[in-house]
Amino acid sequence: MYTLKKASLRIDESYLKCKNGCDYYGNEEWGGYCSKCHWERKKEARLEVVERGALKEKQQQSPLGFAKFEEKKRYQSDKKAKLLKVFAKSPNSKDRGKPESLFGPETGEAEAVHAEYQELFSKVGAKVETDIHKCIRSFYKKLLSDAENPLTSIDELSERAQNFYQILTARLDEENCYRGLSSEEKEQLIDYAEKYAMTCLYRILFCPATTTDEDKDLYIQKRIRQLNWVSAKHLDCGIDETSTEVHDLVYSSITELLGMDSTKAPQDKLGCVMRCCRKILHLMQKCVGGPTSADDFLPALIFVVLKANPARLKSNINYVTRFCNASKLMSGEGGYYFTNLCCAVSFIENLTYESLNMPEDEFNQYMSGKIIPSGTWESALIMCEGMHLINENLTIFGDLRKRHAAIMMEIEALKDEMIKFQDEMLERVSDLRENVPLELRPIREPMDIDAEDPAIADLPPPLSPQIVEERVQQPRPRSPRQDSPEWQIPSYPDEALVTVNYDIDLSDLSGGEASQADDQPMHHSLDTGSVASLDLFRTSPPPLPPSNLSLLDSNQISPSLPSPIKPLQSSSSPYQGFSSQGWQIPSIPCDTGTSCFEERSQKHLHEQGQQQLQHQPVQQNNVPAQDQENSLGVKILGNTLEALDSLL
Amino acid sequence: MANKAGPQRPNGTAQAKICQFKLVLLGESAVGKSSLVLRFVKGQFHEYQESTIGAAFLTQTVCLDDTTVKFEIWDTAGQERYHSLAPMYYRGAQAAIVVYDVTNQDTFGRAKTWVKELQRQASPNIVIALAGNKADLANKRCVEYEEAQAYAEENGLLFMETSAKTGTNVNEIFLAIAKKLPKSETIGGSGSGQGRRLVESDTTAKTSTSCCK
Repeated sequence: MYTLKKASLRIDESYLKCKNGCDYYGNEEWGGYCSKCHWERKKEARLEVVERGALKEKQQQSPLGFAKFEEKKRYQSDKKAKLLKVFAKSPNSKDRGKPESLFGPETGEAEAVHAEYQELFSKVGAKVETDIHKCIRSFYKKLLSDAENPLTSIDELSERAQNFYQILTARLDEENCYRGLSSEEKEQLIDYAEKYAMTCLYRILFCPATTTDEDKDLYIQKRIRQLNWVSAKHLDCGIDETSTEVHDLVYSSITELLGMDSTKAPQDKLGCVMRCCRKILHLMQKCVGGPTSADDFLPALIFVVLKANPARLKSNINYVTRFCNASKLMSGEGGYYFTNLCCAVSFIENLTYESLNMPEDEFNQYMSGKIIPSGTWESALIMCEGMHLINENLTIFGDLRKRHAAIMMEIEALKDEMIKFQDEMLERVSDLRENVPLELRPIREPMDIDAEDPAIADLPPPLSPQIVEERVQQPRPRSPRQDSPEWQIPSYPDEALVTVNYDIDLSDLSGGEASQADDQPMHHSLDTGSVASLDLFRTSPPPLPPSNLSLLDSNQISPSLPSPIKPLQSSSSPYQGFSSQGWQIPSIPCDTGTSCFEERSQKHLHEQGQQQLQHQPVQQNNVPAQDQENSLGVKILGNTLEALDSLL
Repeated sequence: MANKAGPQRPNGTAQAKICQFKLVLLGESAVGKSSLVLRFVKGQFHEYQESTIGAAFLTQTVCLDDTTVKFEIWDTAGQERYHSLAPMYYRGAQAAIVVYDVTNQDTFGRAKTWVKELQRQASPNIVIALAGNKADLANKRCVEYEEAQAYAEENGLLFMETSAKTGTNVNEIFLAIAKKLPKSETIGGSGSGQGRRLVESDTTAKTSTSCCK
């Protein structure tokens, strides 16, 4: 095992050295050259480009001269970008007052960045804000004009940006308006400047057409897709593939990493990497059972990158490397995690059978897709998915079984109850049959009714009111004839005295109009009386006779009431004229008002009454009697009211 | 001007200088790199604490007489297959601890290659310390103290035998590094000008532009 490891151990020294043969170490990024040789080569290449550009201008008529399609594409997009820039720049000169309007299409996002730091600016003051915006604006303009020049390489732009950060840092320490700010606030200001400028310049600086970033993106994407069979075991990574908790953490870290492409500012991209890495640390802690060391962390990160296959990975990494404040990348937690991500990507790029500790032919077979290992992440996922489903279903089934058992028990109980009930009923019925044998009798119902009639005929008690009648003149002959229901009608005004009062007053006062006076109470009694009588019939017929009696009693007193009236006249003798007038004057408007109403409503009422009468033909016979009785009752009540008025 | 930055740090004492250094841990896996750091930063060994989720990146502050040294400790993966990635980690580092296991001769050999690589590729004035960990396992010792001491002297390294388990020499080795680190001079042309944020001498540091960016 160890020997195998040893075999893969050392990369040949010559591999690390500069390709040019100078004794310095080379770098993958620089095409295997050391920094010095790389720069020299670059310079040469640029000169060549300039020459070619000159040539291009000469034979501008023949764009077919471009051999490579990609080169053509790059040229076109360059042109387009320039055109866009022209449009973006045009409004600048017009309104220079607003710093936001400077940045063309990114205005909205730049404002969002500004809003994010609103709290900081409210703390540091407007002076600082204007100064920092001035710096950003000048940097923006400079970089934009630099970017327009096709000879400016992206590395030069990056250098400009880094210089801007350094100059700004120095400015924050030296300028007067920044004095008194804490170092945290200064750092935040630099962050803001970076974020603001980069959000605005993102369109130009991210994956620019002059670089091969896009090709690299495609390459790494393809490479990762090819390596989809790599499992955690291959990487010496202790991820527990069967635990659901770990799964969730892997997924969330993958999501964080994928989120990197959707942010614009380098810091935000760095933030995504940081969140992703923290989740990986967390999940490795769960798997290892202790604090995660780099020995566990890096393989896990490689694994996550392989499974995530983030979009435009290389472009994003290059963008952050070039335009994120270098001090952030070289130190700090974010820098550490970003370095790890770069390492992971570099590892994936240079991955060989040796780095996975497997025989070369096996590796090649995997890479060509000839064999697929059984223990891959995907298969583990599928297995786990199945397990998960089974577990879920089992719990559901368990629950269902419980409920089923409960229902069955209840059914049993119900069945027992039903049987018991049936038995009981049968028993009862049979008991009843035994106790009460069925007898068939001849039908005697009509006979029964007849038998009851003579019993009613022996009803002298209702006649007792006859004694009372002696005092009242008019109703005397009628009251005995009437049955108790009719008697209730006069009783009604007693009960609903309040509502009836007014009507009665009117009738009394407009005594001259006999027809009205006669009609009105009649209708009234019909209207309300019918309802009241109906109610009374049903609810309480027995207590009625006494109430009748009481009413009669009170009525009895009323005819003998001249005595209260007399004191009225005697007591109010000086006021007599006034009182009689005053007594009549208020009544007249009332009278006329209601009489108008009556005139209008009389016929209507009459119709109603007739309708009601038609509806209740039983009562029709009693109407004349009621009429008279009512008029009497009304008179009596009028008297009592007079008495009451005088008393008042 | 020189003392201006000092009092502005909220947690710094009035006249203290605050220096931040990046320190890289190198060494074969399972020699106890992270244990060493955890002992130094958290004072714990093997005691599992829920709050400590990672030992890959940690910071710890050490107080020397008039300066506060803040270590930013970057752990690296020790597995052989990740060896080629190491330059990315020690780029811009001011200090490195190369750890080996005294009970394992191979790890000492690996440590030597690390030292060689650092001396060649890392920034020229990087402070390198050699730590022979697991010194508590004396009966299993394979690498003699004298051998390692001689090697360290030869290459100008700080050397101590440590034990993350007992805590022997753990704080001492970090303190020794802190003492050896330059704290006021400007940073050499290692291309890591921004990597080390000397709050104290920032103005001078910023003026020195890196030559081989």
